[in-house]
Amino acid sequence: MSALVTTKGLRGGYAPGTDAISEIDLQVEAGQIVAVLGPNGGGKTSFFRALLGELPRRSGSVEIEGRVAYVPQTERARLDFPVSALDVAAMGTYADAPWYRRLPERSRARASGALELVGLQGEASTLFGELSGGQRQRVLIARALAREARVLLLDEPLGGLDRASASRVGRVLDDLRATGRAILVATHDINDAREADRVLCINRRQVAYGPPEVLDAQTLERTYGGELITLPGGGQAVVVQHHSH
Amino acid sequence: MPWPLDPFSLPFMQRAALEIALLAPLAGVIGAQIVLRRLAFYTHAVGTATFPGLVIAGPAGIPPALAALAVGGAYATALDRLGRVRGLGRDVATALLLVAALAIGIILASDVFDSGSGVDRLLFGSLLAIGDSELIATLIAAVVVLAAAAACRRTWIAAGFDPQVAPALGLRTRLADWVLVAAIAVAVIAAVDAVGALLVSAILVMPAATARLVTRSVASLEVSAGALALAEGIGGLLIAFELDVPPGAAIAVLGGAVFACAALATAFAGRAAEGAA
Repeated sequence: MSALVTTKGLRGGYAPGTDAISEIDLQVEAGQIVAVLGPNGGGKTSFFRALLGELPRRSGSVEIEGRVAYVPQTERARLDFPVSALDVAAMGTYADAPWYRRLPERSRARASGALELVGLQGEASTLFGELSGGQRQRVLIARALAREARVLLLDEPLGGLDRASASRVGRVLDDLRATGRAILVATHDINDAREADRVLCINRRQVAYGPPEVLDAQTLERTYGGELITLPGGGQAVVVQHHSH
Repeated sequence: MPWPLDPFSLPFMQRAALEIALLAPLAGVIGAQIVLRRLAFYTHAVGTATFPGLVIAGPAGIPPALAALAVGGAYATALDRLGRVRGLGRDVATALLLVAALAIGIILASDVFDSGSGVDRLLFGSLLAIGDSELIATLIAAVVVLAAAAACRRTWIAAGFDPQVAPALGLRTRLADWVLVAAIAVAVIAAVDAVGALLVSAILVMPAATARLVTRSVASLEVSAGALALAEGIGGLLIAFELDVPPGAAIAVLGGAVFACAALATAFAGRAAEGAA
């Protein structure tokens, strides 16, 4: 397997004197799903911005094979915008199409193929705002696929989805893993993270990186700076934040 | 010509209709972006900002379009700077500059150049007095703006739908946004001759806002807004001719009435669909 994403000692931030992320060392192979786990404000999105080249880098290096595409949470897109699922997927091809021509047929074919990959070919003409939350998330993944990205960065893709929709998006990610793409998924759900091939625990700096087994109580406490409680029965892990009084 | 088109046998009505026909594509393409990108207040403000430039243009011997372009450009630049001031916000900056432009224009018109009699014409347009030079200026503006739209349209749509992610799609959104703001300013200045500094929204916003109620794609919005601008412009001209009222105001009132009817119709249709379900 080949590494699609490699970072060494990555450190960066916007505010002078304050690092949004630091000490990020990782290697992501083709066909791997990496969960990026951390608290709100812990640097998950900043890490993605660093991979996209949007976060000012202060030291370290980032190497990415092929294109990288970012898949935001669906609430950030305009639901009232008059664009269909196919229109949104086609946006992933816009940068490759000559500005002075209509969108070429091969671009439309790429967008249609991307929708097919996420199981939404039947909804191509449906307005984006009329799709369910899970379908919208899959359309945004299709837009990233139409960009022909080998590395996908997904920001909380299962947030706000019901169990069935989350399961459908999860199956799409599994299918994409089989196509040799590297997929990094930001999440604050410990159980979702346990399903990934690798887990990056981050709280402004890298706490741990490795297989899901790294998710022990000590690592989680260092990641969240709180106490870990395991609920009886369901085995769900909950982090309670420390408060200073 | 048969009724009701017989007024268009008059040369000044023909020139007015031609001016509307040249503005209609701008109302379609740029009007759609104004509505989709929520730039209606900016559009109105740019129109108003041209007022002091137009007041100065006559006495100073400067072509009105050039003066309006200079003041509109200065307004857009000042808005960009002021809008970045922490805690102020773009809409507040727009309102502050709009009031400043209007006040300066009124002072210049009443106390400096003593041209109060022309203020109505500057604020509300003079569609029936359009000359060949104004028609040529509008034609040039239409060609420039439509060329800019052809180059940037896809980026405008992607950035309007998802502004945070569009740059990560490899699109030059910052440049495209600047082009959009400039294209709106040029379209506004082109429309000022027809409907005046205060009523540019009647041409550039109202038809697109009405079309937005009943369309489901950007392309259909553009075509419908352009067609509606043409129909409302010609209709407003006829009303103005028959009732002897200012054409800019007639177009605005007709546009408002059409919007109200469309809004009511879509609301009733929505309720009927809910009832059927």
